[in-house]
Amino acid sequence: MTEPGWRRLFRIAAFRSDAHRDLSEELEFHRWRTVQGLVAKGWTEADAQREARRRFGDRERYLREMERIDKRRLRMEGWTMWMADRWSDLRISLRSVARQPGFAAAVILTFALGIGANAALFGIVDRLILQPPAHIQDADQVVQLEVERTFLGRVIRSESMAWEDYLDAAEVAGFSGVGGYSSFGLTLGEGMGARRINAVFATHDLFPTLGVTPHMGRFYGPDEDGFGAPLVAVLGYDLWAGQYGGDQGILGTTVRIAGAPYTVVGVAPRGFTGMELERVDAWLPMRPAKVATDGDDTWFSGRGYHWVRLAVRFRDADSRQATLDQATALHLAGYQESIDEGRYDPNARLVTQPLVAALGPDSPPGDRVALWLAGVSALVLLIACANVANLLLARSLRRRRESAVRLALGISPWRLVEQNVLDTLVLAFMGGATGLAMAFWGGSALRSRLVPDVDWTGASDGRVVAFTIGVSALAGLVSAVAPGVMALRQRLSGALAHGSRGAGSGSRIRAALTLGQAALATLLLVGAGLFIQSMSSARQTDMGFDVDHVVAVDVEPSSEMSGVELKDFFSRAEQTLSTIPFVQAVGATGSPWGWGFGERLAAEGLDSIPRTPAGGPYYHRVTAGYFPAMGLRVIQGRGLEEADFGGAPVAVLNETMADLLWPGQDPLGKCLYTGPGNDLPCTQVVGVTAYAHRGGVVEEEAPQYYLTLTAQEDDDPRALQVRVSGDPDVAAPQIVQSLYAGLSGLRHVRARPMRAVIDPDFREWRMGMTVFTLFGVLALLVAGVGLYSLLAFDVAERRREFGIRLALGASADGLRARVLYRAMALAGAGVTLGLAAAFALAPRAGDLLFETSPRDPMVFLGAAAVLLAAGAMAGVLPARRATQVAPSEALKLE
Amino acid sequence: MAAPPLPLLPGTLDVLVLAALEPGLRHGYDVAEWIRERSEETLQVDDGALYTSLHRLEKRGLLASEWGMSESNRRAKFYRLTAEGTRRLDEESRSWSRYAAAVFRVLGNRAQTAGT
Repeated sequence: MTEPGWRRLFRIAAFRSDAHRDLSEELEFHRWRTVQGLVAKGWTEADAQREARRRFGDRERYLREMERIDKRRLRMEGWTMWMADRWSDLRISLRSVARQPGFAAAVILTFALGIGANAALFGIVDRLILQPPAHIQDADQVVQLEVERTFLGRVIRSESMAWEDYLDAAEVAGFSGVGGYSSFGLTLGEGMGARRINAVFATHDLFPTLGVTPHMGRFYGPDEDGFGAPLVAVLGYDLWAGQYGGDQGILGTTVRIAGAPYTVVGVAPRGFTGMELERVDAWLPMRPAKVATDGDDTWFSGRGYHWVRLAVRFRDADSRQATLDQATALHLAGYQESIDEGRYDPNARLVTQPLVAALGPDSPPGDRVALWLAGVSALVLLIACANVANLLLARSLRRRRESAVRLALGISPWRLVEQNVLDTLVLAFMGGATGLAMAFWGGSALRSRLVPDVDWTGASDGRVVAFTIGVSALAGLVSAVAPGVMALRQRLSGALAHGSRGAGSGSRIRAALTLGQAALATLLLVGAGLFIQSMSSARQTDMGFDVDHVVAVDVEPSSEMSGVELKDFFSRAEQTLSTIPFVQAVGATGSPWGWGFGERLAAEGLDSIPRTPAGGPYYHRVTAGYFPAMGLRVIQGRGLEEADFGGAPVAVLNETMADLLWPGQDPLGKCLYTGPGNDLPCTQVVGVTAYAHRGGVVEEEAPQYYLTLTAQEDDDPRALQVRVSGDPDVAAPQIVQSLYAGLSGLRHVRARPMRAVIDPDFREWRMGMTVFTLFGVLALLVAGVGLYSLLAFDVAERRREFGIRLALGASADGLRARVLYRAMALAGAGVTLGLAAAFALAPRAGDLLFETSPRDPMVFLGAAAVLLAAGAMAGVLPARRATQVAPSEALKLE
Repeated sequence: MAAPPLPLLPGTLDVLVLAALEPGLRHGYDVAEWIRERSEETLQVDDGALYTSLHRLEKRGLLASEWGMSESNRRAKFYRLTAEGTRRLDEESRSWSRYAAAVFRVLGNRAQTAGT
């Protein structure tokens, strides 16, 4: 059948009236024969007619039934024929794939690369942005509560609130559920086998609010979440499966977390991470567990500590704003004292953060980078489609003779188009399947490199598969457009003529496609360059201390210690560390990386301390070895020295603080008055340091100052900073071993080079750099292959012409130059277009970059150079082939 | 003199129609006549039910149809068994025989004497 089955499907409507006619005729025949037979036996005509009607039965009913049956039969037959046609079309497509395996392989590979990249990234984007965390019922009713308030002229949103804020929220009637949670890194177990886990302190009502059911056992209830209640814990699934081997008898056993014994009452379901996406190893009842870990209930009293995040479920979708207003009123009432003192914004309000991350300006930068990456991979897919379209066009141009003959023999152009589209779709789905396999295989590597903290077990593979199927279909259709249009515009006369030349709309489209690919590749390379530049700038940022030689050490004593006992423990640790040969200096601090403490502060000659948007002033209480260990740069006066410990209080300021308190004056010798009370002694300023980063690679410069940490103060040491000669990665495990060996009363030690501690800050740039580079190279390869195939095809088409030219005396070099010129012209045009696009689009990425102008000329030039070089390489081989035509052979070609 | 015709038990009509077409190509009127004669007028079948059965069996793929000329030179729709139809006829005939034999056995003498 030359007629596509589609038409037949549409003709079924016509069949229906035919069917009705047939039925009538059939039954009429029967009636006629019956009457005939009766009349022959002696019946009268009238009686016979009546008898025939009687014998038939309920005509209405039977007719209706038969029509129904017939309709269904025809529909089924129509479908069967349509399916048979599609099946035969499919077989034709598969056969043509088998006949030209090289061509098919090129197309399939191109599709696989484009579609696979998209599938891999979709998996990431889906988990990070599109899907709520796993195991939350009706996730659109659940939100995180945040406080939005004005602080020093800027509007800020904080996720963490005070314990009393949680109690207030729990009283609001409009919330059908409220839960508080806060995650901490704690130590599981003791001694050498101990490990760091991600524990979440959660109120008991978090679990019913989220609607999660445990995998085993149960979650804890209100009785177990009270001050002084016996300690219970719910283990995370991965911890249970990994550390405890999925022990079915885990319930009722005891685990030691941060030194306290917890009875295991349940195991959380696989992939449950609460409101966030990081893996959770243990869920602990907030009240008793936090008190047990800290040793007291300081963090629960007053509203000074902001550490609890709130998850709430709205009772009623319509009255959300009213509920929020009510909650805000309650919140403000709690902070009335601070408001009266002018320390809290009276217009503060509670706002919601939905579970599926917002895509607006408030969304965390990590999510926005993920979106950018999705856009990038879509670009790569576009390039891949352009390449495939190019290849298909080339093939159809080669086959234009054959197509012309088929058209002349009566095949409808639509049929040709349909076959082309089907061929392309088949190749696209085969490429998509390959790409999906690549995405699954490489996807986990990509994820762990780009977003290592996230727990991926809750992610849905089904959605990735569905996405891949959709993208494959789309890619196939898009790629088939250009060749399809060409097929429809086949002009018989032109195509059948002998020795038809390659010029025409076909090759113009192909050139345009190649140009587009080059432009897109340039765009991606510019992106890669910008991120590489950012990454390199970020890595070279002066942190203010010696990042490359310091190891951060956390030591945990095996019994609860505080005050003098703890300080003594740390000083013993310092001594043990000093005995290690490669250790050059050791110091302890009360505020490790990322921590910041403020206190009541007055300065000489000032009525009050000026405020800064960066917060602070932050103080660091440190031991004598801290300055040499960290390598802080003293720019005025001196650092803290041995003699300062035990003598009169002294302070060293950072330059930001010196400028803040006494701009333009000499701060040395001036007095600070720290702490509560009156009649405070003068803490004399003895030095000024250059700015040292407190908790991030990119941060606003905050005023900081350094004080002595001795037995007198209330502050506890929290971490050790160790300066080592040589490689800190090698030193770290040795430090751990030495401490376990030499320090008594030690529960757990963790040593990390400072480079590793600050590394998470680089994540986004690294993500951007990795993906843009990966995709940029991919795009470059695809575009290069595209350009090569275009030139090679051209040369092949024009063999006769080249042969004649050579025969007539043209120089081989001249011919080669012509081909190369074409290559460079195309590449150059693509580069120009790509650079223009980059120039226009790059500023959008501005805030994702670090100290790099989005229009950095070096990056632009670099990208252009790379692409032009690729273009030249693509042209070399075809150029050589062009001159390898023997003139006599060329003349023989028809 | 003959007993009044009996209505067909549901499901039996299809078997009879299949059996009627075993000899070959037949149109609906012939099938009706064949059943009437063979059952000696005992079985009562609405012509409408018969044709519905023919159409239904065709839809199920047990019969195939074609248009042709009847003996009286009028256009009529002829039916024949397909391979599947023949198979189904064998199956159903066997089932029916077993069923009827079983019923006969249970009824015992009563069935014999009532046959006259």
